[in-house]
Amino acid sequence: MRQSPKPEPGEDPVSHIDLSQSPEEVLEYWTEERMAEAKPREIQLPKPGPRQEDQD
Amino acid sequence: MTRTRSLASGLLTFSAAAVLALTSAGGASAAPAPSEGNANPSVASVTVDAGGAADYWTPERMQSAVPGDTLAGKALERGNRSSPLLVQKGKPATTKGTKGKSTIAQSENPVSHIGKVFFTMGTTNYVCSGNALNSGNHSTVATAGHCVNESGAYATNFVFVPAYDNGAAPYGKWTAKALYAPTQWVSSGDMTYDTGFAVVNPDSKGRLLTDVVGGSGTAFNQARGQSYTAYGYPQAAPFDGTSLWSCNGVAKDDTNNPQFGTQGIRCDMTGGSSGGPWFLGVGSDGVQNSINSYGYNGSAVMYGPYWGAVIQATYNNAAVS
Repeated sequence: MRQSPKPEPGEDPVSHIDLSQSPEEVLEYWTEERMAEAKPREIQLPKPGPRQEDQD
Repeated sequence: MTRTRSLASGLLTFSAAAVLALTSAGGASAAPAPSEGNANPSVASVTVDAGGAADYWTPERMQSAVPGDTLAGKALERGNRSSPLLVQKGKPATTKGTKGKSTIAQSENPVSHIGKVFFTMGTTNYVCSGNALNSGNHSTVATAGHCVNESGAYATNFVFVPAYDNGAAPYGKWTAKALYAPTQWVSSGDMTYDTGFAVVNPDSKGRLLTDVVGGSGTAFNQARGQSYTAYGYPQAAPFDGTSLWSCNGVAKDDTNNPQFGTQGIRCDMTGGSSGGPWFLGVGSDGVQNSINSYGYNGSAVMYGPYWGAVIQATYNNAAVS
């Protein structure tokens, strides 16, 4: 079983941020219009070379 | 004889009603007229503007529409001047039917702990998918790393909307107070670690997320090649982001980029499904073991990161914060 590579020695493997925005501020930001117009976030990698085939 | 009459009547009903509908709603530019030239002398055509047809057909108008058989009767009253010699003339011919565009992904009813996440990166608003997890703080949501952090910059205005369904938020909107991601995702965008966690605030009544919507168990460092069900809210065409979809399949390694250590299942969910949960086995009641991460252009395979020790540490930190 393959394991995920481990981080560099001494490096904290976890990053985080505490957000300072109030819930009210965020809820007010997300109007129906903004939610409807939000762009789908995605990662599409370039189609690989000859080796690429669907894996089903 | 009876069958022939019924079929003819049905055809007349459909074609006459269709012409009437388009004519009434869009305004035909000209009365039907035989085609010019001699290529098809017995074919009539009319150009219609169908732009307003959908608006025209209110439920009330549909309810009160006159049965097309009335038109069939009027047509018969006009007489039958066809020559029997013109009937059954020509070679047998067929055309192929189509089933419309189908997708690999299956439509699902909303699931209380699965939802959409909305957030801002820079000045752009984005949408992804996420899932509430059973956790010490009862407030942890799993999503993709690329839905919480881009090139080292964390998202703002982050909100989780469980069981989102066509604009409805039956369990409310849960704002994030902290975001977590593996350092290797944050520092270098390593696809191996494309997972993020949000810790959300209590709602306005002081309730915690998973006390309201429930939370999935988690699994880490599992065997590869297992069967998964992936969920998400794909928004890019042919989907529209209004509802939940799923894919099911046996995971296989990404042979294009084996250094990622990721696995893929057959799935054509598009952008917006990123961050949606992968559950071991069939259905949404299993333990979560990955997320929708990436695909390749022109390939109907969704890949997810292997949830090993680093992502486990990230979850552990988020879950007790």
